[in-house]
Amino acid sequence: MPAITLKHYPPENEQDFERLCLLLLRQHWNSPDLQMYGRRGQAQDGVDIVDLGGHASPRAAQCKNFSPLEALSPDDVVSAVQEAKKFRPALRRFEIMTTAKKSKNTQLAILSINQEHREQGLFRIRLRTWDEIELLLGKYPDVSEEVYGAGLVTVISELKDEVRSAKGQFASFFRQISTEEAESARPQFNRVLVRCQIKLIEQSKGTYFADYSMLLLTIEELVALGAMELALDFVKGEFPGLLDRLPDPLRQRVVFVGDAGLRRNVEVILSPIYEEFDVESEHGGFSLKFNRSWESGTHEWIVLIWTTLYDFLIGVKNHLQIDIDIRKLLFAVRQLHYYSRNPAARANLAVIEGILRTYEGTTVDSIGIRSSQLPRLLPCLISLRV
Amino acid sequence: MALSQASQSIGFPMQLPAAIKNFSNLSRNLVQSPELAQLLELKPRNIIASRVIPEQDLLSVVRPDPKGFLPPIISLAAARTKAAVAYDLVKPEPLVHSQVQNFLNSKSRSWTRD
Repeated sequence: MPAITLKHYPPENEQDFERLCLLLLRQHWNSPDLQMYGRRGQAQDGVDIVDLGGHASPRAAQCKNFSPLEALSPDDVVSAVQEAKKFRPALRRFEIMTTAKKSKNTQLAILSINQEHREQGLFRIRLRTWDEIELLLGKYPDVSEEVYGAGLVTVISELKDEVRSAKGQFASFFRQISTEEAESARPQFNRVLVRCQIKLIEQSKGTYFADYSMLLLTIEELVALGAMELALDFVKGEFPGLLDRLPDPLRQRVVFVGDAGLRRNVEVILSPIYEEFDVESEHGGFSLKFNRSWESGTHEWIVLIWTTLYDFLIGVKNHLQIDIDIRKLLFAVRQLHYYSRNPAARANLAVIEGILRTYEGTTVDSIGIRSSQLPRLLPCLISLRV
Repeated sequence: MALSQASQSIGFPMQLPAAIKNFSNLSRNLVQSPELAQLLELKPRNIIASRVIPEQDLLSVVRPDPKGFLPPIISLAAARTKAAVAYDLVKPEPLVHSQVQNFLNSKSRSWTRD
């Protein structure tokens, strides 16, 4: 366990939070047989994660991704427990993991339910709020690394700059590094295709526009993580004031890679799939219209392929690192391939699957700061927002 | 070969095994240097990259050379989450597409943050 607990931000969405909970509980319960239970849309009896190890009374967990500013209410707990009672075989232990904060009322509700359950011989409940999940992340750094991964050698290059400005406090460490290595130490994020969250803002009653100002903050955070070049999928001038609003050190790292031609290429590749599933591409490939309802998930799979294939191709063309969920993409491609009857659509999906299957996870020995040294370095790291 | 070159080579399937080896060696050398041994340690990191050159026509629409680059996959989730937190604190002026901006300029309209 590290000497200090580092701050983690809760995952952005429910799926990522569930994955984080699964990885943590596998380690914490020492149970490699833990799995996500069922799939979206299926009745789950309030259970998101379950131990399939063959125990007569398995352990299970439910994940509740709430705002970290909210507290889970006693009603939320009661309703989760009622659902979990329906699970068969009956559970031995039920853990509620949440990004919400702790509250006295909820803890009292759990105490009361546990007393009742003890008398009735039912399962024990445990609530794990975000502050406790962060403790587990500190205890299991491998999980933290897998979920939050902070860049291969980000820290070293950032630390180098910080050391310079820290009046030589650690300068002796770095004087000894050869100039070439020190100057060329690059982070995992070398040349990145930037994607940011888009906010909707109301211009007048019922009229909303997309606000991309989160892009400025995302660029800032990526530079703080050591990104050297940030590729924006726009044509220069498409967002007036974008460059003016970026301070020099950030502006110098921005390149524009917007490419209408590439979007047309995506349309060509996907057109047999659109035809098969009765989808119309509109507004120059910027929107899709579904003319029919399909099996559950089909719309999501098409949208996922439509968006990520473009990112993939722009990454190929401009030699960029990209942020796509390759597992989800592969799943979507396989599902559509399964349902598709059009030979051209099947062929293109097979080709995409073939390319994605060349990807593998691998491990690289990289540089990290010893946890015992973190207290010494913490002021530097905090000022760098690492 | 410097760390940065090794890192960039990870996008080229043919160079991937060598890039990983070089990257690991260079990292090990740096960590084992007497000045840094107490400060740094070697940590395994996960990456997702292509190991094989796919013999597929699909990529030819953007890359005539089939032996070229396949984008390594990274996660920007941490940066995006931090940006979202900063957005709520900073409340930046909206940044909108030029067509929206022209529309707003012509109507002298103002924003109401959602």
